[in-house]
Amino acid sequence: MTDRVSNFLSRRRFLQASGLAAVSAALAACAAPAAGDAPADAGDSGAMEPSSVLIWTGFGQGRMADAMQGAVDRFVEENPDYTAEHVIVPWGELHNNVITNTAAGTPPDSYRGWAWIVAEDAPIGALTDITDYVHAEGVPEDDYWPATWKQMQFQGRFYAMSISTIVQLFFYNKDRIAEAGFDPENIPDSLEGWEEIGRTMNETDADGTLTRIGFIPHIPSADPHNWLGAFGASVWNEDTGEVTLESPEALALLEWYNGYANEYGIENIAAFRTTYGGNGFGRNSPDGLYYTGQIATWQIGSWLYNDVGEYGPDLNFDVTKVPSPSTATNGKPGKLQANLYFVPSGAANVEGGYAFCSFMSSSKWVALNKAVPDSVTPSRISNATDPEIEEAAADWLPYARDEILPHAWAVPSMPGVGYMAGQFHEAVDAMGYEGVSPADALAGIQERVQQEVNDKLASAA
Amino acid sequence: MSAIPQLQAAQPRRGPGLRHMSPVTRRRLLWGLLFISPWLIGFVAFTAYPVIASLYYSFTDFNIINRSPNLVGWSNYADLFQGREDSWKSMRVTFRYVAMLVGLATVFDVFIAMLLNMNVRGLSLYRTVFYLPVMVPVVAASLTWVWILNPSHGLVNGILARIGIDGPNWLASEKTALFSLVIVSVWGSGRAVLIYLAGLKEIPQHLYEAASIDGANPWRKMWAITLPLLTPQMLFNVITMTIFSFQSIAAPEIMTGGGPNKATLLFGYQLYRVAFERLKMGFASAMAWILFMVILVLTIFMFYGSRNFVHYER
Repeated sequence: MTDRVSNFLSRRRFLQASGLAAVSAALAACAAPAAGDAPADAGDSGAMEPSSVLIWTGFGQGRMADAMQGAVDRFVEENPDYTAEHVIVPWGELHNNVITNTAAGTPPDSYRGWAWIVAEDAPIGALTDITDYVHAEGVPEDDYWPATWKQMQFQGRFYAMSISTIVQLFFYNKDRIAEAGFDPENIPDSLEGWEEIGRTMNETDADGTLTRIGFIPHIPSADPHNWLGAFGASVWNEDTGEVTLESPEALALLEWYNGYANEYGIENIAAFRTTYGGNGFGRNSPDGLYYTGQIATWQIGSWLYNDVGEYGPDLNFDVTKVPSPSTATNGKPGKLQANLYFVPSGAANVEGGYAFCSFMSSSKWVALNKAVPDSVTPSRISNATDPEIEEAAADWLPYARDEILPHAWAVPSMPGVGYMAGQFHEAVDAMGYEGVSPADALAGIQERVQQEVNDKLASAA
Repeated sequence: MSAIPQLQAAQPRRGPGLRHMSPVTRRRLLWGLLFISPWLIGFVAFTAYPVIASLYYSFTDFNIINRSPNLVGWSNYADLFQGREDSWKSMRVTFRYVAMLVGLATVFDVFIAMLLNMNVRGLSLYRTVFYLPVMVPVVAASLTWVWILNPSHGLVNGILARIGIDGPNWLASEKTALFSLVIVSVWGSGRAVLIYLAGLKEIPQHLYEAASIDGANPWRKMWAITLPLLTPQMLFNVITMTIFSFQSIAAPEIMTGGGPNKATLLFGYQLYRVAFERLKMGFASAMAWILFMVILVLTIFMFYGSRNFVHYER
């Protein structure tokens, strides 16, 4: 029996079988591209098949999911050269998934992201340089908000097209302000004035556990860097690459945060966040804390208008600029950050990806049916000032566009800007839990962010 | 008896290569290789190559995107030893976590295994109940425990309040956050209980009978018979639990995000963040190799140390 089996597989046969298996595997690997090439073959006979554009966004819930799919359908309708597939990836995983798929050679042709991605990903080669496409199309610079135009670039090259521009606003619950004995129609202008109202509205139980929030900077938006502009702090010198965070303004910001941590207890603040912070404090639910009044103020993007309309339509609220301390000499009314569409590096259909980016950025239809329902200002000035669009967004657009956007603090195109945000978080924890002084915490941020900027700029070089 | 020499004849000779094998042996070898080739290919592609590649990348500035990273010598390791990316902090946290988890889990699992080894009614049900957490995905378990440990509405603090104890802010306090992760891990350590249970079943009954005749009480039997004869299983569980707990990622990611104030920033989780959030794959590879060395040294230490306290029945 053994001999028979042994004779059946000689060394030559083994090698032949192995070779056959290898060739089969190679042919199988070739099969998919061969099928994918079919449209090109068809093109030879005169009838060009549309090429497919793969788009990733996080719009998978509520009205915005429908609006996004509507925009994709509209793109195909207006661009018969393309078909499009929209894949929904949760926002929290979207950027990481794009990066890992870019590394694997299977990125989407276009995806939705934010301004901070430009300076983070362009230096490491994760984005396609679309400058030539932008110039070839003749995209008009004067039709974009200046800050937005800048946020589409890194070191003078274009890496993204902007659909809309978010500005941070200060949302407040008018009923709770009235409950606290203040006049909601006569709101303060300075940060100190809001702090006074906020302290009156903050509620704790006997052991100090926070139950209702009037105003505490850690809740619900915990991002200290969002207040950098309001405090008049600068972040970096673009010409020299020098980080300029170690300033009296940034120090005042950290001291202000730390004061609240000492007053209410960092653990109580963290416990409130742990208990209620899931899903953006219930932002996509009628039970969301802002809609029910458990949180009275919120410094957040104008897009909260959209969520309030969907989940808390009966909320009696209004917005104002993000307040600055009365001592700030250069306080900005909120943060500005562009919403962008990117073509990742190695995209299979760069032209299609760019076509989609350009469509989303320029189309009035998209501005009216996607950006406006999302309560974010269209990045093309001609769209943002279009009478039809203005009428559709009369309750918020004129204020955000005219009062805030031109004066807001724009997220800088600094490599490591995302890292900087994380460092501010860590500094708040270090001050609250370990008693690190604000000055030391700020010095640490300055040192680490500068190191990060140097590393990224070295990568870019 | 006659089969033994034949088998020995079929064994390949030591030392010489393929050319010195008999044709029969060579063909058998080729058959064997053909049959295990799916595993071999998988091992080379998904284990051996990544391991070797990560060693190479640990000496580069690989950022996951650049296909031709630059060699940077030992600088990733030097930065790591200087504490960059919270390497020292996370390693200290991890040692505390592993020590607490392995110690607590060993005591808890042995205790539960002893209870499940008793002859009581409904034993199968109890065994199922204690094994059930193993079947729960770590994400679901972590999310559930976030609510159980919620300071205001959680089950644990609710029970503590009923007996007059003001429960802590489990996940929001530096003092209790790491211990909270340990609790969740211990809750899910039913697999070790099964191994201890099997070990308990292996202990010969005549030893207990002899001890009874000598007048030993149950406590004495446990210390003199049960625990010594359970040490092989303890060694296995301690080593495997140490290895796995050094690599914990999901629970800190979901329950605490490494906070508060980095109190739960486990090394494995920090390695993941450095690799996939900071995109410093070269540095993360260096972290992975340091982690490997730490686990290796600890494992060797435990193996050698076990000679003094692990009892194998002969």
